Amino acid sequence: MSEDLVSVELLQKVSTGDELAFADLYRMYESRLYRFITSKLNDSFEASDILNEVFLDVWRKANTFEGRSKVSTWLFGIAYYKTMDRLRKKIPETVDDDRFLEIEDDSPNQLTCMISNENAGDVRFCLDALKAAHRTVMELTFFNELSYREISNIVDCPENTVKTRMFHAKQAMKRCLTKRMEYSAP
Amino acid sequence: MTNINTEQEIESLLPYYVNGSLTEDEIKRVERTLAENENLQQELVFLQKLQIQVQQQKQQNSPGEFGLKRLQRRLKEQQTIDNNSQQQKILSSTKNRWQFAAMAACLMLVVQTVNNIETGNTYQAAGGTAVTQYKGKIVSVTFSPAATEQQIRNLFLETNVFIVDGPSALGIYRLVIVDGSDTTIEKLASQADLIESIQEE
Repeated sequence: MSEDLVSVELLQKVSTGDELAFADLYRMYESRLYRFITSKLNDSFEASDILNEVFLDVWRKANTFEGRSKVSTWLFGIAYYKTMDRLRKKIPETVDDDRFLEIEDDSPNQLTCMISNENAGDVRFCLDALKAAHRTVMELTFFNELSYREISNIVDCPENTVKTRMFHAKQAMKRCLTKRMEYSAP
Repeated sequence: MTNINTEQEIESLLPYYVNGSLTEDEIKRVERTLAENENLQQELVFLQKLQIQVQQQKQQNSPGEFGLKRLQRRLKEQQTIDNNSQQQKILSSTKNRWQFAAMAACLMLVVQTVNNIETGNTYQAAGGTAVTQYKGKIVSVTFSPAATEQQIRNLFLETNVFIVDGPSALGIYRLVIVDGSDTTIEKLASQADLIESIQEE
C-alpha cells in the first residue's frame, strides 16, 4: 500500500480517536515535518514546540480532512502556517522577499563539481544562508520531493511563485557556492 | 535552437523533473527540450547533485519518541480539561433546571394563594404578611386605652376570637368570631372596661 493510502487510513482512524493510529502517523511524518519547520525556524526548541502544536491540530481536526490533497500536503500546510505565525510574532516585518538576486552567470559545470560529498559543508552553509521562503521551497522540492502544485498549496501561493522561488533559491546557491569556491581556491 | 521563453519555462520545471513529481505531459515536454539544449542538460546535472546533497544534509535530531510522549501527555491533559468542562456544563445545566423548577413552584404558590382569596370572607392577618382565610362573623372593635395586652389576650382565648386586621390609624381592630354566635358578640360588648366600641360588619 502506498504511503499516501496508509496516511489516509491512519488519519481516518485518528478522527475516531484511535491513539495508536495517531502514534503511527506521528512516527511517519515527525522527522520530515521537524526538518521542514527547522528549515524556516532555526531554533530546535521552538521547532519541537511547533511540531507538537501541528500534531495537536491533527488530533483535533482529523475529521475535517476532505481528501482533496495528499495527507502530507495537509500536514505540511499546517506546519507551514504555524511556523509562519510564530515567525510573524517574532519578526513583525515581512520575512519573505522574492526580489531577484543579480548574479554572475557561473558555469553550471564548474558548480556541479563543487557539489560533492567533499564539499557538503559548503552546501550546508549555502543552504543555511538562503532566505526562509527560498529554503522552504528547496526543502519541499528536494527533500520531501513534492510537486510545485503541492508546494503552492502548502505555502499558500500561486504555482508560478513556487517556481520563481525555486529559481531564486537555485541562483542564490550558485552564487554562494561560487564565493566559497573562490575563498577556498589556492 | 530553443526559444528563450521555452527554455525559461523548462528550466523552472527542471527541479520537479529531478524530484519526479511532474505529470507525464510535462515530462515529455522537458525531455524534448533537454535533448536539444546543452545548457539545460548541465543545469539538470547541477540540480541532481544538489538534490542528493540536500537529502544528505544532517538535520538536528527530531524530538522522536520523546516528542510523542510529550504529545500524548498534552492530549491526556486536554482530555481531562475537556471532561471537566463537560461535567461543569452538565452540573450547570442541572443547577439551572433546579432554579427553574424552584421559580416555577414559587410562581404556582403565588397564583394558588391569590386564587384562594375570597372576597368578604378572606382576610389578611394583622401582621400583614400572610393571607389567612377565616370563616365567621367579622366585628370592628376599639379597645380601652387602659386595657392591657394580657387582658385582651385572655378575652380572645375565652371567646375564640382572632384579630384579622388592624389596628388602623384610629385604633380599630377587625376580629373574626369563629363560631359566629351573637352570644360571643354580646360577651365582648359586655367587657366595657376593655372594649370601648364594637360593631358588627
